[in-house]
Amino acid sequence: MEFKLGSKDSQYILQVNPQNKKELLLTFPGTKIKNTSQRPITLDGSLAKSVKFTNENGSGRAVVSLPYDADTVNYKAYIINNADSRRRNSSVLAVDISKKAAVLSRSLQAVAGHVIVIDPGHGGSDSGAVGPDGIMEKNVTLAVAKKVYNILVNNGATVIMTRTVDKDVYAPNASAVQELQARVNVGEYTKNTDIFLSVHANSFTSPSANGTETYYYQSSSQGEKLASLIQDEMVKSSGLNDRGIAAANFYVLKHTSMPSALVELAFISNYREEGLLNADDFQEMMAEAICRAISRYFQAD
Amino acid sequence: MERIRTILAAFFIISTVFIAGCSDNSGNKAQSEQQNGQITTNDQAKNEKESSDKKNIKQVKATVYFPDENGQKLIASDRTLNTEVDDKYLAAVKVLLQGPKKGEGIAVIPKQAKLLAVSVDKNGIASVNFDNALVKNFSGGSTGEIMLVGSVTDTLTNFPEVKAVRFLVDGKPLETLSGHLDLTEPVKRMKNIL
Repeated sequence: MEFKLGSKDSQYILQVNPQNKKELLLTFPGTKIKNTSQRPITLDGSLAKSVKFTNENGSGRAVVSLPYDADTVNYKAYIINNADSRRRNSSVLAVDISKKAAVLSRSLQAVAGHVIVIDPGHGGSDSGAVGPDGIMEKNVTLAVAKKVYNILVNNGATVIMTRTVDKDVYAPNASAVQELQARVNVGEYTKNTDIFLSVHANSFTSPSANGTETYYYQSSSQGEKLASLIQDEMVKSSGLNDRGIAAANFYVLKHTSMPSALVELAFISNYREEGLLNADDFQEMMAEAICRAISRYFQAD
Repeated sequence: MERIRTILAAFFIISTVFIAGCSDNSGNKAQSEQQNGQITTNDQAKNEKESSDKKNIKQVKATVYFPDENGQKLIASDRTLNTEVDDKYLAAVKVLLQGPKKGEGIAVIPKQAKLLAVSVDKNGIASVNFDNALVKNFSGGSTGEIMLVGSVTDTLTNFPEVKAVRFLVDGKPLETLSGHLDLTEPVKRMKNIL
């Protein structure tokens, strides 16, 4: 949400109401709010319910009512510099509220107790595909995989990563089979692995190719179910082109004995999607979508 | 029966000459032939007819596949392969390297890649041997891999005697192009992208 301020130099404090955890207080010390008689502004309720304005003890205050305890979200306030020179003395204060993983826990509770192997595609001597701006697939896959790891672990799952840093899983410049088999082995040698999930970013000769796709191994109906749920959640969250799910003879899918899926988040070879893949909030959104899908998978199991 | 076969053979020779005439870049001759709506019997055409008689049929019709712009399906295109020097398998893969005509999709094999050989064994397994530039210059991605492998595999398995395709680089079996498809076994026709 954004607040228009009359002065560029307004001071502000954003804090949780000590008396009511479901309220955020945005206080402007020594600044009066002109029109406090207006009715509270009602919001859609997903992140915030309403905003009302008061003047207390000589300070203006905006009270943001939340549908949950404020400590379950990330919140911050910051001034957006106004480039419009005619309104040099005014500025805009933005308040951002975003959900922490814990808020999602109800939709993630089915992951608890399950063993999940996450494979961040490529790494080390293998950069994976490289986008037009030089963004490397191996870094995107690791960033998203780490976010998936955190969400799942916070919700009670046991998660093993095939790599947690930028390195080859087998050895630098090993043969393709050695490298891919090393990833498969993490799934095979981890006790009671329930699912194996490989995270990738797609690439194609034509820079216009775009969208999200998830692959499974043809003979695995559980893999197909997992792929279908992940695809559904990712597309719902991102709104990217839905390329659907497809059976593919991929090494890590074929050689893992447990249900597996390989996600292609978006096209790193597409200029717009390369930017998304490199953005923290997009990575977080996709990671959350993947985790919701995994929870749905275990729920339906 | 004998008569039908003779007529068919005659028709085939005529159409062969006509195609040869059309693909001739020295335009004038092809133009005059087309103006008359039939094949002229000038000396050159006669020579071509005689030479193609001697060498038997040197052209084979085939279907080749290039990926669409978004990398989701392969587009089938008809070609008449010149098999004077190369056999039809090599000629078909060479068409893929040359790239598509307008509206036939996009090129997917890296320009730098050299095709070293294509052979088909008695079990119907085709072996396609590229140089290392194929892997070095491949830009990666699941979609890129599926489209490149699919384009070659589906073009070759369109010849009914070819059952599957093995990929080689500098004569050695290729395990994977960029870490997705398992190429350690010959690839069967990829129907789901047609």
